[in-house]
Amino acid sequence: MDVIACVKLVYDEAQIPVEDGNLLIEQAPVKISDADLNALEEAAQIKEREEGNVTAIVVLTGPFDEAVLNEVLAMNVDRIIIVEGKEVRGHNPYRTAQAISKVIQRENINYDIILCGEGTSDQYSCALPAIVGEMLSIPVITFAGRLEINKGRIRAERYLESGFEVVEAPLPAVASVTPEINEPRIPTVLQIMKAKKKEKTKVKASDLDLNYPDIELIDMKAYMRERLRQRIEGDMNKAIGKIMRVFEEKGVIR
Amino acid sequence: MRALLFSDPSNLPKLVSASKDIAEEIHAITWEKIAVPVDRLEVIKGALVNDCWVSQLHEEIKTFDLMLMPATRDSKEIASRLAAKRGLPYISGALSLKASDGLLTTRVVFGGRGIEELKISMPAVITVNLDVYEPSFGEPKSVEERKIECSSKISSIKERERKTDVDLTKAQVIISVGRGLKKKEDLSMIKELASLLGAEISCTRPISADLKWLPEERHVGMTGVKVKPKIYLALGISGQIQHAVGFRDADTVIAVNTDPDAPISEISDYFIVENLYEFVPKLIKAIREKRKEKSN
Repeated sequence: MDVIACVKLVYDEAQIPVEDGNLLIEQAPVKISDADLNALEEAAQIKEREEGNVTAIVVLTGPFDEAVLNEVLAMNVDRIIIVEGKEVRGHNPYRTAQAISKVIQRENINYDIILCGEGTSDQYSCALPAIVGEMLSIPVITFAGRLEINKGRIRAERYLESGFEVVEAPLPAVASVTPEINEPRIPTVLQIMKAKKKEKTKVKASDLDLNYPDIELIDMKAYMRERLRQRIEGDMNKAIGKIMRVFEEKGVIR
Repeated sequence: MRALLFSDPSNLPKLVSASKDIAEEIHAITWEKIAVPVDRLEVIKGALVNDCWVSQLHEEIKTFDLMLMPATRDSKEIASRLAAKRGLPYISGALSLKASDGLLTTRVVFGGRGIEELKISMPAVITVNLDVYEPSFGEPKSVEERKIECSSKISSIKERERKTDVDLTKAQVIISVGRGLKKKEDLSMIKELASLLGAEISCTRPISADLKWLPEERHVGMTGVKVKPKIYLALGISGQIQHAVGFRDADTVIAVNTDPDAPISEISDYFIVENLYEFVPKLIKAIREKRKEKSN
């Protein structure tokens, strides 16, 4: 059972400094997009259960950090393929999905299942897995909170706003996973050291002949709202009194 | 501009509102008859899985400038697949739409820390964040009902649960719980407080998705509902940004947390460093006393 995991490197959104209403994104550390960790964990578990290889594909749409790539490899990934170049930089899930689909075909990567996070920590468009599925003409299952693989078929519990749906499809297929599916492993220092020796293949985006509809970024600002930030500590009566006054001002006590 | 709307019946009235400002002609497709003021309403029965909708809409979309859907998980899948099939630009979770030599949209990024403005050409496919819109009701100019046959490689084994009628976006007071709540039974104390204040109860993602103590429709945040109450009372919530973006538009945010350094201290109006298990019973008592005082 061969698995491809699609992984995005992103700036850690929780650590982006803000200055004059602007986000200084490039000053934030780089991390693996949160839900992609769940995809990597699920890929590793499938490999450990069914035998086979895990290939991670990383399209460098934004930041790069070699140490983070080693963290990817340390999650029992066999090799990593990196698509790089100005042609893939910036937010455009169609283009990223096309780069992934084309690199799978060009490098003849075997797969039974392609796993992605439900959406990325920075953009959360949730578009990429579905577009990859269309481009490769394979079944698409999104927002899977549980996956089972049995006799060449995949069965998934899709986590939706309205409840859940159980679906089944033949392999190969692409599935996006939600954070509820597993608890991603934290690789040991030794595993990360060993990961450095694993195969990293770089592919130039300019060799993939990408053509896609454009998305033009006009502007980006911090989306903040100033709060009073009054702190009440160690005085329960004062806290209750304050909150009761707020309730009365807002007319919520009838 | 001609817009084609595709939505589940419950989100369609809000989607109509979102499309009214930019489209002169609106066609809508859904699966139950619902009174919305559109030029043409198509009620299509028999499409059970997303696959069927993709192949159905793939044909319908051809003559329109814009395809709009609600930013639900199912729609996000269907919309991206349609965009891929037709080679069209796709924007996910748009907050606003404006026609201007193409289409200008805004969307929230970096887990709620940023907002970006994007420009695309038309025709295009968009999923719209409907939390800010009021629903539009009225009679459609024409209605067509039909049933389709669909075969798909993907089969739906189990029906989804039915959605209840809770709409957190309309709540004036919301009491929200996070991992500070120790067990499901303790929700009874929260419910008591909620009924005293006429409040709705919401939660962070772990409470609904991992622990399943509350239904998913009560999950506030980046991947859940975005609310705008007068008061948002956050109990035992650390304040991760993925949750915080969901209550950004609340008038007043009150947070109760035992951790004095919890990130929510930075994004609340009143931050109370207390254990919710001591705070909530005292607050209930204070409200009861106040009400007694008022009725006397």
